[in-house]
Amino acid sequence: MDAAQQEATARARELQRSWYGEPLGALFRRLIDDLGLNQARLASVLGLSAPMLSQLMSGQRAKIGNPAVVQRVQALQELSHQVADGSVSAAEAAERMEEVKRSSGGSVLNSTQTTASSGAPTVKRVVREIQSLLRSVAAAGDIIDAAGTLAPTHPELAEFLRVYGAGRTAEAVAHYEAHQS
Amino acid sequence: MGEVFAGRYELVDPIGRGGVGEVWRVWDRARRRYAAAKVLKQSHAHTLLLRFVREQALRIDHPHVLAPVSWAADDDRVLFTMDVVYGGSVAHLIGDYGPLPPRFVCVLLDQLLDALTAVHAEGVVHRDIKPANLLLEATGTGPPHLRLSDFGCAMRKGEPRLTETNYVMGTPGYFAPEQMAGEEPDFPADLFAVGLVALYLLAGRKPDAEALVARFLADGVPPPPDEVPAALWDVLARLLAPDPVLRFRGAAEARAALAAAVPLLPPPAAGDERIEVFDQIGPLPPGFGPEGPQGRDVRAPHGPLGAPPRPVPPPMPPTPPRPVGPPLAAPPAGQARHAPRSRRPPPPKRSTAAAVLVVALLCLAVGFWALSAA
Repeated sequence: MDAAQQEATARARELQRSWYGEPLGALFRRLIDDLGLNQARLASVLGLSAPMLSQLMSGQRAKIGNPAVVQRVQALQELSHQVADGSVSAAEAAERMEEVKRSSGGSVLNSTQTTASSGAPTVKRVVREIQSLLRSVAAAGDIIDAAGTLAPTHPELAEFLRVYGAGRTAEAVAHYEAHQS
Repeated sequence: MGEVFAGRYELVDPIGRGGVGEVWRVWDRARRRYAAAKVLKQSHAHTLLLRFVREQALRIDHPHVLAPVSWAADDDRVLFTMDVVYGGSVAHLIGDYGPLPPRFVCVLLDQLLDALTAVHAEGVVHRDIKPANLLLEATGTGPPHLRLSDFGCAMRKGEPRLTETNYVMGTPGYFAPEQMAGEEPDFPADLFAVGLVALYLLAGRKPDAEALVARFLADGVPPPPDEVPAALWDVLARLLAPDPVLRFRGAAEARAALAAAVPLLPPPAAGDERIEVFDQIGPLPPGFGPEGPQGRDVRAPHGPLGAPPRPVPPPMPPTPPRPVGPPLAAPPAGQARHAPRSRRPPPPKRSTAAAVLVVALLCLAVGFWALSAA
């Protein structure tokens, strides 16, 4: 790789850090490890082609062009956290990945499926799943208690628990959307 | 060595699934080149044969049409071949990039309408225009090159229907309203589907055709959707008119209107994503090179391992490019039965008689096609 290319790659990784929190190579590799995937499978769940995934990971390209893919990346990150903390089993994770794959227009590659014509119902569905998952882990009262305990040290996490574990769906949707931009 | 089909096509690797059966990359020993082959199992023949016959019978030579080149039959399967198109479909492009820039979309639409002009000039209605059937050459960052594929639903206008069935062919979501109503296949239905594909490319998601038609019927032409520049919407609205009479009179007219609209589009934004059409099929597997199977002579697979990949004379004469009518189409049936076999044992023969029947049916249907085309 010559110097100009190296520089371009470094710049792309820097941009990725500012847009996605870290370079996509690291982010995607962690998803692959945590969720037991390979690159081809990750590409398929995200709705990216394999060459595009590889360009993003290597920093040849900085930006994920398709906003629906960005949403799926976020959903997978969420899922991998839940797998890591044991709140979602491997079998459930596989099922959830199928849902992520189908979400928000992902099925355009598969002509036999119909898709929602706008992103809104999908956001609601994702939010509902997070809610139902939290509530299957603990009752609303326990979640509020836990949120209270966390609040002094980790206010964002406390807010998250409160909104998804005990708040109304509309509130959770607003929270979800506010954290997508 | 890969399995050899009908003594001529060496199966290399699977590269996808089509409307009928699997699609393989094959090495065509006769033409000495790689091709994509749709393989149909005889056991599926009763439901898919008609699609298969329709598709293989079409011969249109046009840079933006991907039509079958040749066909062959083996004991329990039939296949036909066409060019390998490496860049995936426009659906891959949307997956990778989301909504595409209007000027880029116009290049694709221009090529699609060019292809349709040629197809319609042959009297053929495609009937299944949709993103997955719009393939792309792997042109990288150069201008895109679209190929209209999958003529499994295509029909010659006014052709007698070969089946009793009344059901509608095509893909839900890309139907014209009159197609839904079960009317005779006609060219304007393809134009409507082009309009929907355009919306899909501009918005990055599948349009809601039913809601769209309802809006047109309720209020006339609606204002342009957010993603569609006004000048382009004027063109798309005439593709999407629910009443086929109100659409463009033909693909060529639509193409001219599109060309007139392009200069009115906003210039590309500086921050626009660089669109690259990747090779989605990937390199040849080990044992195959650009000049075909490597390191062995097809006729002597037990020869020295390091034998140079020298040209191998085709074991079979090439299939006639256009098997027309029963008399000419007869030889392939014979060819199927007497073709030299690959050294690997072929899959269990379920019934040679059934395979011959499939081929006979193919011939008959091609005959029908030829007659109705005359």
